[in-house]
Amino acid sequence: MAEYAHPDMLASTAWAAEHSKDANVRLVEVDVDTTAYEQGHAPGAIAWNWSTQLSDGRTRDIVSKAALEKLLGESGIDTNTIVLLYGDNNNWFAAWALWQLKIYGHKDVRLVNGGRKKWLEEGRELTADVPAVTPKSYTAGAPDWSLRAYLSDVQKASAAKAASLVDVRSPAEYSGEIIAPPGLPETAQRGGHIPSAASIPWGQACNDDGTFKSADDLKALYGGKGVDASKPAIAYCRIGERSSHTWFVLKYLLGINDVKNYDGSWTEWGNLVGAPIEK
Amino acid sequence: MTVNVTDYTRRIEEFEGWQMGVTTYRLGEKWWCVVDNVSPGARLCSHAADSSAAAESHAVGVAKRLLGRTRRFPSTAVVC
Repeated sequence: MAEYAHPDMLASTAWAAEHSKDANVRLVEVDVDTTAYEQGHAPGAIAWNWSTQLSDGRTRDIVSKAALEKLLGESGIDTNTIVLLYGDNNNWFAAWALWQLKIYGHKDVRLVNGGRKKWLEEGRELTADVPAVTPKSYTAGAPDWSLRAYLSDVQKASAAKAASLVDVRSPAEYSGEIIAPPGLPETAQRGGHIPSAASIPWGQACNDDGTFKSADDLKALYGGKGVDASKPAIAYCRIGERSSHTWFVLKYLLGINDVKNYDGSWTEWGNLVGAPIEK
Repeated sequence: MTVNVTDYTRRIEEFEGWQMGVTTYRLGEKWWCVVDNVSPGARLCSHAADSSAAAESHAVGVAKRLLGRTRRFPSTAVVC
């Protein structure tokens, strides 16, 4: 039975519950529903708002180095802190946060396997208490842009079939039957997928409780759909957060070295004049 | 003060061809209902109330309104 390539990138809910108040650990909840934290959160957890604190407020971009340093410092995190990330929506935005922390070189950041869903399902303790945090000084590394795909990277990869392009959206989004997840704003002019992309919905990497499938099952899943572990891979979705989840799987669980998250995703490609689209 | 989630349930319902995941649980004195769209699993809405029925009724009602607005495009459709 194969092991994950980097099992240290995951923490169980049990481990998180036991260590969330350790001096060198910071548990952070990152939700799409920012009221979820107020409803009740894991004891010791603080909250980050993915749209205001992990995104640039003016230009469509990820958080800047300076803004991340401020956020981490105010969160009581230094470069030696173990950051544990979890959240609602199947850990999508927790994975989005992890991707950005890795871009800026944070050494030890982990996803709580199963996220908030598993925490609730297990009947674990929740609290409305916000922990007191002693601010620290944080200096981020120079950004590692090799973790991020831009439009030009994806155009080349699609045309030359030089990378495994993974569309992690639902089958209905992939086919163009719908432009966005049911019930959500469309945000793109056209539906379909990027030519040569394989449809591997993010959820196929998870068990019913939200935890990741075994390494063997993941290998069979992605290999069976044409993801070549010896080639670069690029994951995309609609805005880059579901694809962060798959980026995490490909890079840290399957150990594919060159994996990028295309955060422009379908809201960029599907709005681009003249971009080729397959259905 | 900490509380534990109790009475956690999840079921799938269908509405106009869309699947909804309806998750309900009790947290202290309140019942919460969170509805997602199953495929891909994005959260649509949530609501808290004094009973599970009230929480679900409100949340499912909002979710149905959102799902009912989803446009479908057959493969030959021209999008305007």
